[in-house]
Amino acid sequence: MFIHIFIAVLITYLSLPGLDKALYSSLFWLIVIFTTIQGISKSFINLNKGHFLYWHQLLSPIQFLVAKLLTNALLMLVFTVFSMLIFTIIHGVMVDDTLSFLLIAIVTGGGISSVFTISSSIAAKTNHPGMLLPVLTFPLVVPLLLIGVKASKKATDGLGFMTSLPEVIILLIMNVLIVVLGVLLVKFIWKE
Amino acid sequence: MAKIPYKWYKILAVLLLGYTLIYGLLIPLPTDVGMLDETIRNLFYHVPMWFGMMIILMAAWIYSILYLQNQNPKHEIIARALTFTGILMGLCGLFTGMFWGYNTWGSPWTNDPKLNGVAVGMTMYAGYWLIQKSVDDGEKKARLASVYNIFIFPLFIALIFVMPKLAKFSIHPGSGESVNFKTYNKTNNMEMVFYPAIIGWTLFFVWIAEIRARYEILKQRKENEELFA
Repeated sequence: MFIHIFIAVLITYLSLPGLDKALYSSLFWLIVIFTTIQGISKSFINLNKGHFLYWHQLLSPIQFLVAKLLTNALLMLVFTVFSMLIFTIIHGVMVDDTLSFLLIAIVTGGGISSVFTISSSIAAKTNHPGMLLPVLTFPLVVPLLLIGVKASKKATDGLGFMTSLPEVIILLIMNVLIVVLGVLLVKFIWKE
Repeated sequence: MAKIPYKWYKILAVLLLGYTLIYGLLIPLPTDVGMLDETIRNLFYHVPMWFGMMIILMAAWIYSILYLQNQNPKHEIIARALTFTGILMGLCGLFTGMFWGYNTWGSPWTNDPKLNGVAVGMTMYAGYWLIQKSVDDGEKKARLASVYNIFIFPLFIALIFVMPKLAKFSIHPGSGESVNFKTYNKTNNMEMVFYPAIIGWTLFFVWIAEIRARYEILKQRKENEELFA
């Protein structure tokens, strides 16, 4: 995964050496979500029926989902920080307001990783999980991603955290909504 | 349950649509609409599609929740019929909008938050259709599709209501900083056609959904009879 990120960033550097700030946040998010979908979906698709039965004996569905949500949010956070690091090393310092960029990245990443978790748990139950997963997942993260990109663009321009506060609040509301929906619905996904 | 026990709503739909079609062409237009000109009559076709789509998808959402609560297969069939009708309405709205955009903005597709939001929203609902296609077990299919439907509807709402509000510019009327249709309507009584058009089109598509749901229920009953015969 880390090599994946490194190569992706390197490609952006080789093809777009003079990257400007407008492109920076969109490219950053593209790389992060494509890496994360690999990481998160693997953890579901590689589980076969036996694994599910095993987990089913140990945990309640809600426990399983919450554990997965936390793990994946952590994974997303690690990916985000790592790709920021690589971006900074390769492209130079682009972000004027690192702290608020990171904060926005955490909020958006939390939402994206929970959407990924829930939709890949749905996809894992179908007959063609590998094919269905991107179709089910990518449209769902678009609203989160667009708001996140917009807010993080403000942070790269150094406009100050207060200007992106409305976006962060909307993102937080949506995150809560997604997690609540996931917790309510997981027992129906889970049943065999 | 799937058959709505009233005939009047079909009659009402036909009457309202007839009124909309005929009087929508006859109604004198406000004179200050600028380049919109005669295309403003598309207001009676394009906008009701979106209103109706929202209402129908909301009904589908409620039926999906009902299905998960009491496991009644009929509710799932109704939810499915409503969702497919909602998608159909969305596509109709998209195409009427593309005609309208071609004649006023100069191109069928522009970089507008509403257009992009709806395009992504339609791919979300394409995922709903794909789930139906890629699970064999009937009960599991119904369950997964309902869960997915419940999950995507709030995100869809966020896409088509919250995103255009956040975007500062939009060339759609009434969002962002562009003018609202209300400013035109002051001089005229276009609302006299507009509101009946919304009700008429919605009832018309509910009719389509009802026929679809009844067909699916009959099909399933026949399959069950063959199974236990």
